[in-house]
Amino acid sequence: MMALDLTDCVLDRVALSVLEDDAHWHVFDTRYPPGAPLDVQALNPNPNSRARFARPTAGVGMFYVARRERTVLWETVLQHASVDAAGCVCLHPSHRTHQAVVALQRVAAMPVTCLDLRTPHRYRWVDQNTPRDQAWMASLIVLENYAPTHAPAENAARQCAAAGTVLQAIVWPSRRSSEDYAAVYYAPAGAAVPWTVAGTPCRLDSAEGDTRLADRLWDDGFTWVGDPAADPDAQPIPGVL
Amino acid sequence: MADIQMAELRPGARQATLAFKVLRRATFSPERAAAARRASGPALRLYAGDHDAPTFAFIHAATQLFATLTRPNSPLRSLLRAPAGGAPLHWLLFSPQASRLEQIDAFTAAAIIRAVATQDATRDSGDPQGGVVVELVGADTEADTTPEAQLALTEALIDQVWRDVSALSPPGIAAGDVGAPAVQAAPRARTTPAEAARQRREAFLSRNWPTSITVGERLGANHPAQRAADLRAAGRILGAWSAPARTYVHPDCQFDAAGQPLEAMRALLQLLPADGDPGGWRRVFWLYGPREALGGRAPADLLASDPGAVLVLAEAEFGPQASPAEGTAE
Repeated sequence: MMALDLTDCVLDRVALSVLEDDAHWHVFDTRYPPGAPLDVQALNPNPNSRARFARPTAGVGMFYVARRERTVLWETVLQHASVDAAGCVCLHPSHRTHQAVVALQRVAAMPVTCLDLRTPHRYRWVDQNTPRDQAWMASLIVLENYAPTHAPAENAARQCAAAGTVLQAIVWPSRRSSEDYAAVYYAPAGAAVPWTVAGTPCRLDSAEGDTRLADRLWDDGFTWVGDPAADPDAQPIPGVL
Repeated sequence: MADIQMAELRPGARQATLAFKVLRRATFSPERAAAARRASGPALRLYAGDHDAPTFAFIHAATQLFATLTRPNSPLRSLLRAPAGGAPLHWLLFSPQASRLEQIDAFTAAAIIRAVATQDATRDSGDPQGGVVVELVGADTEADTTPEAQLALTEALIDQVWRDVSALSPPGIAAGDVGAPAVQAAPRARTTPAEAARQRREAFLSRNWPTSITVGERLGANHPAQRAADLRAAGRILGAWSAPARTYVHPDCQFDAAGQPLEAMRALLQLLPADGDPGGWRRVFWLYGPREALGGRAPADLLASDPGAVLVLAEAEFGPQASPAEGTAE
């Protein structure tokens, strides 16, 4: 695994932004809390995340959002997809099992303060052209093992707290949808969640989810390849060798 | 004053390190680069222009390009084996738009680096449209070793870079083939997900993969079809149900030249989910899907040559540490 030194990822100064968009999209696990309605599960923060900019040592619940539905799909379930030269997108069905996508609306009276890693917004809180600036950029290219990104998130939260403000989210440019951003929202226990569910969640492991994925991919010129095991012709005849 | 962005990968004993630097255009020279090369040891470097600091776009593009250059069967590896004029390979020019890699000399490299640094086209986006100069610092180029030994050491260097960088390379360039860039398909009628799956399955069936009887016969079995069925049941080979042939067919990537199942299949089939897949097609689709983590190659392409990479990928996707409970992974 590539070694990236992120120990220098602290803030030169505390300068948070306000998340600029109200409508976001979110993919969530339909198993937690067990038995709860989908719109409750949709806003259930995950305290066990080990993904980018998670804060596992603080035990802070969190969930990820993106501004566009296709971005959140590529950032989550489709990160395991294979794409061929003809634009056919294939995904093992296990990667969308128990996953659902939903639109969220930010509560108007509850602005979300965020650390914005996008360029040039980043320069509000880190000096440009410095090793520290580069270290923050490097945090965005970590893949698979996100552990090195956890300390920078925790450091930033602590610096904000010391300055008397609360870091509610981190925003960064999406790697998988270049015109969009992704964000992690931190939900401390007991705090009101500044989001409401907008519309009906869509289970991605359902026929509706199949259509949803196909539609979003087609918007970008891709063809969604369905589950090959769903075709009766793909089912073996018992006893035939 | 326009400056030069440089991305550098240096292999270490356990892992490679990746660094991004800004070089002053006014002071850049091939002599300084050579001195730095001797001081740094083995490395792979990319140079592109920008006006101030390494941009995210450059970092993104550089990690993609590192993967493209070092993956198995890459143009860089081909050039290493047969450098132009037989000269040692230090400097190359990669043209992203033409998807071409060519060997250049040090002074040409320096001239291009200085010129690229002044191109407006590269400044805002960080996208190296004007070409990326690639510097390969081979293993111990100053040592008194044979050219063959140096080549082997340099290839080992590239292998390590490939293993490390392919773990973090983003999708895009790495998924393409530098020698034969993918061309976007012409607009086509929309197919349903089920129809797309059926077409894909039929395309695989047209490859005439060995049937159960063929697999068993190659193994010298007295009851060939039963032998193949036993191997499937034991998790040694993967079969895919063919409705037209009313038997299983078996992807040929899982056998060696003698028809023996590759050893890696045993571990791989333990990782790939079999639930809900009695016909084997989910696993076949996975096996033949080009993957970001494999530099755009499919697991089937690497099963024989680099089974470890395939198993790492399968472990990451389906192993016990692959947690679907994250909700989102990024």
